[in-house]
Amino acid sequence: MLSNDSFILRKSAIMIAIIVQIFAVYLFFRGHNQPGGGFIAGVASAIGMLLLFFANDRSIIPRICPFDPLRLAAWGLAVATASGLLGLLLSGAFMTQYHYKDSNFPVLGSVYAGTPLLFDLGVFMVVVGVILKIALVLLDALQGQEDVAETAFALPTGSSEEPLEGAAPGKGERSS
Amino acid sequence: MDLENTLLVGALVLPWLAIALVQMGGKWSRGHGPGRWLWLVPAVISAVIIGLVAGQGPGNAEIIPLFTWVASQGIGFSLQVDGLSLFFGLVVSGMGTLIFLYTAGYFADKPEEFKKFYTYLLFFLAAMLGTVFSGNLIMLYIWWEMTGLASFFLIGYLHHDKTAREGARMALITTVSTGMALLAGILLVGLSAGTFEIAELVVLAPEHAGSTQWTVGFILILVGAFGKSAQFPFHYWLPNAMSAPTPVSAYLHSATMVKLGIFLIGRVFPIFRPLEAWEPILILIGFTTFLLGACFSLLSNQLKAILAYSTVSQLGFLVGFYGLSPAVGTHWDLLHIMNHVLYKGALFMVVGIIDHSTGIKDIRELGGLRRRMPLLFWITAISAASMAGVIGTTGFLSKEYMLKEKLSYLSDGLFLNAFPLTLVIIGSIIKMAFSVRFVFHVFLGPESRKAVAHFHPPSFLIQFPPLLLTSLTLLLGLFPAITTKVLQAFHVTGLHASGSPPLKIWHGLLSPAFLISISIILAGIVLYRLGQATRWKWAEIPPWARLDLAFSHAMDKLPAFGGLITRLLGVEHPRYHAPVILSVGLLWIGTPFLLHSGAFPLPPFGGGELLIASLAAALLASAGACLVLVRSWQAQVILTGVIGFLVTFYFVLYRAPDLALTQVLVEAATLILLLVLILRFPHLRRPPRALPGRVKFINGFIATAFGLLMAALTLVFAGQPPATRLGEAYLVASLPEAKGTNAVNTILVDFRGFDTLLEIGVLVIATLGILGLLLRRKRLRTHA
Repeated sequence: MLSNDSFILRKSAIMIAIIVQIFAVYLFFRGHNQPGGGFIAGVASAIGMLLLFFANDRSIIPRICPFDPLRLAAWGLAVATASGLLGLLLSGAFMTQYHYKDSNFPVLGSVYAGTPLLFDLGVFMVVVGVILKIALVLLDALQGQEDVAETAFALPTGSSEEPLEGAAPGKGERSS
Repeated sequence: MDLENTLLVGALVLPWLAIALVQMGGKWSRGHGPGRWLWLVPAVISAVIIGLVAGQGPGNAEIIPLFTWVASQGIGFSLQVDGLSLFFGLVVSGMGTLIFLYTAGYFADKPEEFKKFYTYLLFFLAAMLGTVFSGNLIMLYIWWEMTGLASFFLIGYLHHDKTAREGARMALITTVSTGMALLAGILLVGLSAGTFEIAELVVLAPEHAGSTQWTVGFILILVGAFGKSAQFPFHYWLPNAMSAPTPVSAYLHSATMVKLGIFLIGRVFPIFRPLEAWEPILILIGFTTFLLGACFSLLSNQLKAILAYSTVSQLGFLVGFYGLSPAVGTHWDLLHIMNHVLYKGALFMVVGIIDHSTGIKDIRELGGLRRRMPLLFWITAISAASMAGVIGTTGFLSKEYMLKEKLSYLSDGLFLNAFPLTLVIIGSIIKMAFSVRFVFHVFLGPESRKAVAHFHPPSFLIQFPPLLLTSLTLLLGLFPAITTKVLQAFHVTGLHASGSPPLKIWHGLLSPAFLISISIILAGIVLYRLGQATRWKWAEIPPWARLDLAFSHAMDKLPAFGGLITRLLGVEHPRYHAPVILSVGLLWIGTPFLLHSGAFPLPPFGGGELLIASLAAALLASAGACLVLVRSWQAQVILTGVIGFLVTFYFVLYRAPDLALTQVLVEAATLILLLVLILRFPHLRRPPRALPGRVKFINGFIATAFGLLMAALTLVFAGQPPATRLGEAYLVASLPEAKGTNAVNTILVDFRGFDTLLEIGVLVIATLGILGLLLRRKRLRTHA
């Protein structure tokens, strides 16, 4: 969507994005014991999705991400807070973490779960949501924006602000 | 915990349960449902409080520790149950019962409003009860601000109306910013005494009476109380809060919330009364507010504005009253508070009924309503008589005892005692005048055609609450023996002096207080006649005295001020402000560094990785040099990315895989966002206007010098052995305590998890800010 359409880029982006998502999940789960974790996994996952958006037509966005990414971020914050509240309920101190570990779990071998993982999930969701939201808003605004952004950095002069992209009403930001 | 305390805690929890019930739905939360049963909530709470008052003797105080919150700082939730909290609890819940009933009548034709409106009211009720029963200053502050939040929601309830929005904003900004002063004062006092428990502070007070911290803390606490109780110079928000629906004005902005400042002054009375600052501040501010409010009330024409300014005036009276009270304790302060609750609550409800029945809010357009609303006329007449202090009402008792008290202090011959007496007499005359005007111009005289054009008679349901309040005004005013008995049940040791003389109506024809009272009434009637003779043409508050206009003006000018600052600082392009920042940094960091340069040994160079590290450094340096030299923006963006990726190399080299991974991914994300941003704002792509060569040279010099300084600092500080390595403690604790071998991650999610939680919160807030900037046009379009 940024430049001339390239079939090879479009198709390979899908493959790469899938691999990146798997990698992100891997990063997420290994975080407790090896390099990785919610933040890194979130960035990786967001980059993977951005790659898809760049390489494909914008119509792919609602298919990949059918909801407002900001909702994801908000829910992430809620999940992270909830993981802390769990500790408050169980032991009386906010963010007391609980762990569960089974080294003889069938099939998977060693399995770990605990409130830190839930907290990390919250971080992951916030990071993905925030990066996607900002990028999508910027991408949306790219439609027919070439000539109108002159006043974008004009400073506000009072409470009666003029529209930012007043030079070309009706163009640009149609949805977010 | 015994039965009584359990009941009290249950009463405090009840409003929250009611909110949950209303919100969860069901048939009693739809349509007229909530109006039918929700009044039971405050009614039950009042019953519990009355039971407690009857159960315990006067002067009894009890501290119920519920739970500790932050044990190390002495912050916890404890209840202080004594006469003061029970009295205010009863005012809040008793008045609440009437208001909840009144609301059912007020919104009778708009049942869809019930659910939301009652939720806000219940929230307010819960917050108020928390504030008055709180035994810990920090918890008191939190509840206190919650009442402010509830007030914001309720003032702005009719949010399609611009005045409602502005009134809500003004109230919130004023009360919250003064609330900040309150918090500062609480912290100052609490930290210097080592406890936030009010009861413990009372015990510790004598040792700290002379300390500056307590005086400053006391003044800051007073600022908070003055803001909430609309004292001069914060009085402007209260009249603007009147754009709320009338039940709100009657409940929050006359009877309960604005009394919190008075409550707080009463609460800290045993702590701060010995301070020298007590008398002058409270007396000056209080009585100035009293006179100011009375004058503005006389100059107003809107019914609600008249009542709002008279509320301001009465609150000033109460503040000044506490200022006058001797250190041994006060007499009958609760009488003055109760008196105001009774008549002002009734009058506000009357105004709401008049508005409801005629649709008119301006006193000049009303008249002759007596024949159509006879019951309302008598309610108004008696309540206004109480406002004016006519004999036979609680208002008379209140004014009489105030005058008596002042006259007894007058013999001390202090200036501070003559000042309030004069002001009270002048203010009372004005009060008499506008009370007469209020009754005569609404109910007597020729019938206003405009008022009866859309007239529909009020229901009995909506008239019942003011009727009850007025009956109490009359009952307690005519039988002072009952009033004495009732008020003595709320005796508080420390605040009230023992052995208050019983209240009497008749003090003898020649007692000075009575003579003054009679003269006030006569003079007030003369003032009213004067107003009549001049047809009230002068009845308008002069614009220069309208602080609220100044406030709104300042609020409107705030964005322009921000723009001015932005322009002055040259923030629109880094090449204007970066040289300033860098040269200041250069001076402040560089000068001491150069002066003591001998004190820092350089780190030892060597090790097997030196060669490979210097290779990476050379690459970095050449990338930096290229960044300066290339002209195309694409190349510049790519080169910043290159520098970022090259830094990763060091993380790999020194075995910080977490950092390396993060750096790679963040660099990639940044690069993408940067590219999109530049595409979004095409003018960024064009090379900026060229600077003159001289400026370029100076900028280059500053940049080079700063870069060299940073390099030198890094070198030198890397050579210093740190006293203790913080990281080691985490490395040791990582596996046993956080059950993870990756210390970086256990720090993020466990040891410093709270930081991370707040950081992601900041991330979301920052995103909202970015969206606000990027989507500005969209918002304007939908609201325009």
